[in-house]
Amino acid sequence: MLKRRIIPVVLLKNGFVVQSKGYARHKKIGNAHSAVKRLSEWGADELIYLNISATDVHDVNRDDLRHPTLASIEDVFEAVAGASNMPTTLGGGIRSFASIERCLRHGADKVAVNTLLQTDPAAVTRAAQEFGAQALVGSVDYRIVDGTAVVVVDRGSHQVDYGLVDWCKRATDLGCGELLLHAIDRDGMKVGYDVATIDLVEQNTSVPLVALGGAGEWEHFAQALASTRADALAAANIFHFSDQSVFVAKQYLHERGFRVRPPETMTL
Amino acid sequence: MASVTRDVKLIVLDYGSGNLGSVRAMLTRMGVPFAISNAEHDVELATHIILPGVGAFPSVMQKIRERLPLALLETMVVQGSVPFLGVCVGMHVLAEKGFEHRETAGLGWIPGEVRAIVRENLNVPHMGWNNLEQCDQEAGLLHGIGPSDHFYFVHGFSLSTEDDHVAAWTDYGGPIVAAVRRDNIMGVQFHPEKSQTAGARLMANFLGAE
Repeated sequence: MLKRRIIPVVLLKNGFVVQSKGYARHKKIGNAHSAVKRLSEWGADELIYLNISATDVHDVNRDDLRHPTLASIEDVFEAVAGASNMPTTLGGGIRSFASIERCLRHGADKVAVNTLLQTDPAAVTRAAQEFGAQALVGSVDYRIVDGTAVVVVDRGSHQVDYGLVDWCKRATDLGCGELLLHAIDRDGMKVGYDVATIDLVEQNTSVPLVALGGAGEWEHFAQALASTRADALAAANIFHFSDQSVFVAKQYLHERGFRVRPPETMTL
Repeated sequence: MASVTRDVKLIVLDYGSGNLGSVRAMLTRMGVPFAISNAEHDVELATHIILPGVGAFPSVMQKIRERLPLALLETMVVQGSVPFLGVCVGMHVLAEKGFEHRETAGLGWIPGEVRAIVRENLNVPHMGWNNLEQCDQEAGLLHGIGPSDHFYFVHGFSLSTEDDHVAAWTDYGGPIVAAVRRDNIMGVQFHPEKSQTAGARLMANFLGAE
């Protein structure tokens, strides 16, 4: 039977892995290549890699390391794909069909599109025709305002005039084969997943759903798996700060009877 | 780490679809000599051939017809006995026809069709880690692979073919063909290059095939 997935998210800003809080504050925590290698060795099910750079400068500037300094986002992606032995989703700043195609060519298994769903929906459909819906992830950011989920695009700066469920359905109608639902107001807050909203979206859509935002301890994962039918749980910060984090998370869940792939570690 | 002791010349067919980074990375880690090519002078020397796959069936078939030396491949693989492995849509195109977006002819190297996965109460595409059932270990490809081994699936369409050609099933609210074998022609629905230790084992099995 299909297992539910535990997915680390690596946020990349101008070449560095960063920690994010409240969607806007970023603190550098390390080098992309090392983060991905570690997560691969700890047996992650999948990796989501989001480019949140504001500019096109991705020079890591680490002459002390043996890794070459990376010049363009495609170089970064290609290095990430080479260091990981598991499926990778790439996203962040994907604004055209050509960009989607480049990501897939440089090693992505899936490409996440967010603002593109508003600015060029035809590009999304064209990509689905060419590459298949299974290669496209509809990335949906939202925050709760006065008890209602409000969808935002363009790094949270612009509100979309659709209800959350309708926007998610629109993403799948356009050709996205998976949804990445991100509660951006829970980002780095360690309050747990937004179980009610995740459940609502899952009940009203029919593609695999990945939930992101709010994980602060392993018990949050257990709560989300117990209270929703989310196919996968993603988290950024929590996986970067403890040794063998992914392995420990999966062990916690596996011991409690959740349908996850058994934990394993490997040397790459 | 699985090792390959025979004198292997592996060709990974390049038809311009999808990413070969993970295939390249896995084969490099395994220390297997390989080339990524579509040129006749490379293909004709192959002892083993892999057809990787990312993309929609019609688009992939068009690229295959435009860029691969099909007559040579048919001589080597269909009339001959060079071990051949199709991965994901690379397995789908072995069928007679596919129905992704529109009806499209496949290579017809094995009988069967590719149709959309339909599940009333489950999300589609079938996406994630799943294990295999009823593995035909005689198929060689699945030697040493058991029910606790998981492989990464990511597909909205699946192949149906004669039972005799099915080497393994997986369960997703009902059976889905996970691996096929017709003599030297093999195919897997999942991505061995993304499937960590189990995938590496399968790849080593394929490269040990005669």
